[in-house]
Parts: sequence; structure tokens; C-alpha cells
Amino acid sequence: MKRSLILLLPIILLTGCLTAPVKQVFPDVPADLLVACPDLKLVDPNTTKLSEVISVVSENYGQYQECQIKVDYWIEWYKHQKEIFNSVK
Amino acid sequence: MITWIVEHTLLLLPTWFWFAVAGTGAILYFFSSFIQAIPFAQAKLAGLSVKYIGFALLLGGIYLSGGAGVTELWKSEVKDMQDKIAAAESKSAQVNTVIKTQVVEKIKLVKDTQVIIQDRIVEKEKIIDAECKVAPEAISILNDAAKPVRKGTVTVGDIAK
Repeated sequence: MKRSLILLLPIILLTGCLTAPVKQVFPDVPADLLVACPDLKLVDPNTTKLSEVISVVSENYGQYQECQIKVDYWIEWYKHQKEIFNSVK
Repeated sequence: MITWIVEHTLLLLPTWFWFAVAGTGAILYFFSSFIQAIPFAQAKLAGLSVKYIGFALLLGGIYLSGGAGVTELWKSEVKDMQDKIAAAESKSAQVNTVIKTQVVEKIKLVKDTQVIIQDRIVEKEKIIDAECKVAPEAISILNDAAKPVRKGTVTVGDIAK
């Protein structure tokens, strides 16, 4: 009993070494980048007007460009934040 | 519990205190020989006790002054790391602000351009529709191309849990 208590003592003393008082947290991404890209718009199947088709297609182009911006900035954000995160040593 | 006691009592004392304890121990140990030399009946026992106490104080003082020195070192390391993390967090917040601003600006530009494009389509509607009638098959093909291949959001299942 005495022996096991003696063995237990260094373990109890060493538990203090397990807790680190400093914690680094990876930052949160801006909320604008967390919005998922919507589906592409579809043309009304009953229309025969080219102007309506062009309208929907150009809206989809715009949608693609918005998503392209978001993806580009996601990459940029991650690259910068990773660099900053790894710089703390 | 023991760690807590050590952290909140012993390690809060300044490093010089432990040097003082070790010094006191060394002095007691040194003078114990003189006490033992006094020609009284109890002097030998008293001198021996002082010798042991002095030795224990010397050892304990040296051990804890070393511990206090290491603690000081770690405290300075922790402070240094906390400063670095604070600087990194500040930089990171700056990057977030810049990215957020640029994303909002660029998306606004895309939306503004879209308004102009839609206006131009409305303006030229008669010319565009005058000589062209789109076949329903063409619209069907176009819509099929626009339909998402995978419906819904992207999921990674249980891996992320």
C-alpha cells in the first residue's frame, strides 16, 4: 500500500506538466464566405424568346462570377491564415 | 491537488526566498559543529538536531530555488507565447476584415454589372427576338446542362464527427 502510494506521488506531481496554459485557436472564416453557391437558374421551358434565354444565361454567368470570387477568397483566406497560424512558434 | 498546492503556495514565493532558506541551512549546518563542541550534556544532541535541520533546509532550499528558477523561465515563455498569439490574432482579424471588404465590393460590382446587362437585354429585346425563335429542344438541352449533378449540400458523412 505504502509502495503504491509512493509510486502514485510522482504521477500526481507530473499531471501539472500535461496542461498547457496557452492555446492557439484557428480563426473563423468571414460569414460571407460561408454561404453556399445556389443552383443555376433554368429557362422557362415554354418560352421561345431568345431574350429570355439570354437573360437567364447572363444571370447564371453572374452567379458563377460571385462563386468564383468566393472560392478565390477562400483560397486566399486559408493561405494567409495558415501562414499566420504557423508563424507562432 | 498536490500540483495545485505547489503552484499556489510554494511557487508564488520569490526565488530569493529559497536562496535565503538554503543559506540559513548552510549557516545552521556550519554552526552545528560549534554547538556540539559546547561542553553541556544536551549540547551534542542539540548540535546534531541543528545539523540535520540545517542540512534539510540546505537541500530543500537548493531544490526549490531551482524549481522557482524553472518556473520563472516557463512563465516568461508562456508570456512570450501569449504575446505572439495575440499578435497573430490581431493579424488574422486584419486579414479577415480586408477579405470581407474585398468580397463585398467585388460581389457588388458583379451585381451592378448584372443590372446593366439585364437593362441592355430589355432595351434590345425587340431586336433580339425579331428574327429568332428558340426551339424548345434547345431550352431543354440548356436546362439539362444547368441542372445540378448532385442535388443538395456537400457532405462528408461521419468522417468529420
